[in-house]
Amino acid sequence: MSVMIEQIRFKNYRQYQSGVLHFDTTSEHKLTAFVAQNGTGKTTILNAMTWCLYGKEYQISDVSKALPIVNTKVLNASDDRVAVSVTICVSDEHRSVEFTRTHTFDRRNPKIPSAESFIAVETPYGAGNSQPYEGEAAEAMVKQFFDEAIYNFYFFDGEKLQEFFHTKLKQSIYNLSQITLLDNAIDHTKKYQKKLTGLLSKAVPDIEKLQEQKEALESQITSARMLVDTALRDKADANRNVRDLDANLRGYHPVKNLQEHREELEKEFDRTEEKQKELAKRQSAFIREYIVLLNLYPRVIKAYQYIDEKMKHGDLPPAIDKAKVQHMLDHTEEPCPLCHASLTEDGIAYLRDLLDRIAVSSRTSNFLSEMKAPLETAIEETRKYKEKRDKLRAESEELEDRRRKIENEIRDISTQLASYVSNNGSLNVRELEDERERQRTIIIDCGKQILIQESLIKTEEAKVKELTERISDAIQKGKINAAAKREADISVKLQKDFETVKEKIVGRMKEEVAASTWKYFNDMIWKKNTFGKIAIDDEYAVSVYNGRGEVMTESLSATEKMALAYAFTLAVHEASGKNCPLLIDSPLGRVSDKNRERMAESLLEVSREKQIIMLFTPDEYSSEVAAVYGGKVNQRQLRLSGDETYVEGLEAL
Amino acid sequence: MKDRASFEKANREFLEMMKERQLLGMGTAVTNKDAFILAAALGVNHPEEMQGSKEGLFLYKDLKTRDRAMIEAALIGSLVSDEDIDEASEFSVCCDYCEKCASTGFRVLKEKVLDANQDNELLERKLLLELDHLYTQNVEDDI
Repeated sequence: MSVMIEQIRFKNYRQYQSGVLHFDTTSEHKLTAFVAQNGTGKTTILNAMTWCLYGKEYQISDVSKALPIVNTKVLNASDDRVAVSVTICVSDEHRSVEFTRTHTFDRRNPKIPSAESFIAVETPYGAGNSQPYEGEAAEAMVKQFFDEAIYNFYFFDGEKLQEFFHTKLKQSIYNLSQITLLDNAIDHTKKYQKKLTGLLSKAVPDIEKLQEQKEALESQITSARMLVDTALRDKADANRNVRDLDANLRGYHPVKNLQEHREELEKEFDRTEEKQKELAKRQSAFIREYIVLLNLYPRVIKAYQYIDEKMKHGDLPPAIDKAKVQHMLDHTEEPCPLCHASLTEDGIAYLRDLLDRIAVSSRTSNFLSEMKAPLETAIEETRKYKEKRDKLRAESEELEDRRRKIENEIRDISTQLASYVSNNGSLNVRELEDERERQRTIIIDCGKQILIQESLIKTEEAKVKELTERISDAIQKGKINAAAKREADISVKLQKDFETVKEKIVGRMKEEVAASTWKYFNDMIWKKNTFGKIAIDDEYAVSVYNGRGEVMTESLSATEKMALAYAFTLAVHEASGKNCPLLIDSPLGRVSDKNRERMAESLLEVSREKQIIMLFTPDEYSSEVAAVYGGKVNQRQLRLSGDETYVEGLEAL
Repeated sequence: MKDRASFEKANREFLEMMKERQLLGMGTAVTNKDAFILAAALGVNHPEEMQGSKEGLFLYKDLKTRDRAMIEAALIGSLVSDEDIDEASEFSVCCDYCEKCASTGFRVLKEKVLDANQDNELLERKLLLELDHLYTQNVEDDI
């Protein structure tokens, strides 16, 4: 992918005032050379580029001591505010994008902008429409072309070579070659693994253990049910036995009356017990009802009195509909619904006063009126509390007395029968009575047993239900964990693969960069026997070796260092697969005459494939360089105007 | 538009336990709306926002006239001036207020059940004493 800078447009920006600079993008050599005296504003082009793209002028070390960004002449001539903008037009195979940064300054405060904007407008080639981006979206667009993290690989200052080799090259190169993307992917997989590990470390309940507990409970329930069945059978048997014994006793004349009376009493006892149960239910209902009535009584009485008072005052229902009065006030432009005359100011004032006096609306009136009767009933019921309570108490006491009395009578008869001695020995009443007592004890014990076991079954069944839910949850969690384990395994493999790919790319890239750097360096330098090879370590520090394998990086001349910087930059561009333009300020300033021609030729060759923009001083653009570039490159002169307030040589906007 | 009263989901288990143990005679004959009004009455002086997730308890349409009037009176009887009467004269507004009262009331009822060791006889005996006290305090002087 070849990225090209088509043009840069200035509006009131420093000494460039207003105009446009076009760059060569289509010729055989895509090289544009600007020649200008020192102080004309070559470096300002570099600053305009970084200001437009990143909002910073990287070549100015202390902005507070620099002139305002706005052209001084324009500022002085203005009455109020001046807008400054720089637009850079770039393109690749698919689209063109215009980046425009604009700051507006007040005449009184030319250093701090009163308004700022940054816009990118993308126009795809073909049928697509232009799409504007602002803020973060526009900055993201910049990153696609000229990532700020590695700006010095695009905007190269020949005067600052020392800084070039001291910047964090490794990270810059990783960004350029998009290894950072792999690093991000590795980071993400690591974070994902951590998340999965957290999930897996959460203990899954032991399903087998839960199942064992559930089975144990189910077994207890089965046993309890068996006990209930047995008790029910035993109780039925005992009941039958009692009935048989009763029949025997009834058939024996001397105790017939006693037995029949006892049977009557027992029936009466059962009926009394039933009545007591019924009474208990009524008592519960009474308590529930009066918890409500007595707790709410103060509210009920207050609400009732409120309604009653309103009714007495004639507010319920209201003589005048509050909602209609409100409607008239909300729509004073409408005529009065009664006389059809327009509402006067006095009329409006009267309606306002009337509205204040109407206490409740018709809707509220209906609501309150409907409440009154049921509240009356509730109040009456509440006041009957003592009466009802006393009646319940009396009934309860009466039933309890009755029950006790029957019990005593039954006990007396049983005692008589248990001590009965027959004269003729035909029926042993005492034995029958003892057996009857034993059977009745069985009935009572069985009844208790049934109640206990049924209660136990209910409790255990609730536990079984809870365990079933826990088992189901645990099974679900287990499934999730199995899936998480699979994902964790894939993630670990993915991370290893990413690391392997990264290692291979980094290794290959280092080799390619070292080989390309050596090729470009060798082309630019006239010495052919001094240098042996170029090596790049893991931190992307570049080392130059002589033919004997000795490091001689620190012994390089200024020219050689410049050549090394170009060679390395071009090599990194090449290895990244992203053919970005290169803007070089003072490209040959540190290069001695002997090498200048070779280096100029070398950069001219590179410009066949890559756009290069160079900013020369007239000294740098020597006759040897002019001979190399003459007729092949787009060479332009820039100079200051007579009053030294703006640069001449730009095309008009 | 709201058509049902809600309560805190956490109270469902407690209500089921009351029904299962037939505490205060709560069984199949006692409906959710009865339990709601009972709880609202117990918490009427200390309404609190419901906590946690909510669950529908009964539909407004299932309420009897007196139940509706009691729910409405809980709020209308708390107003101190005419100012809020129009806003309060809306059943759903009154019911929302009672939901808050019931939120407190269910907590009060739970405490009473625990104090009685979930024994119905003991619970009712204690409640009858409380009712006597409430009658003396709230009604007797008013008659």
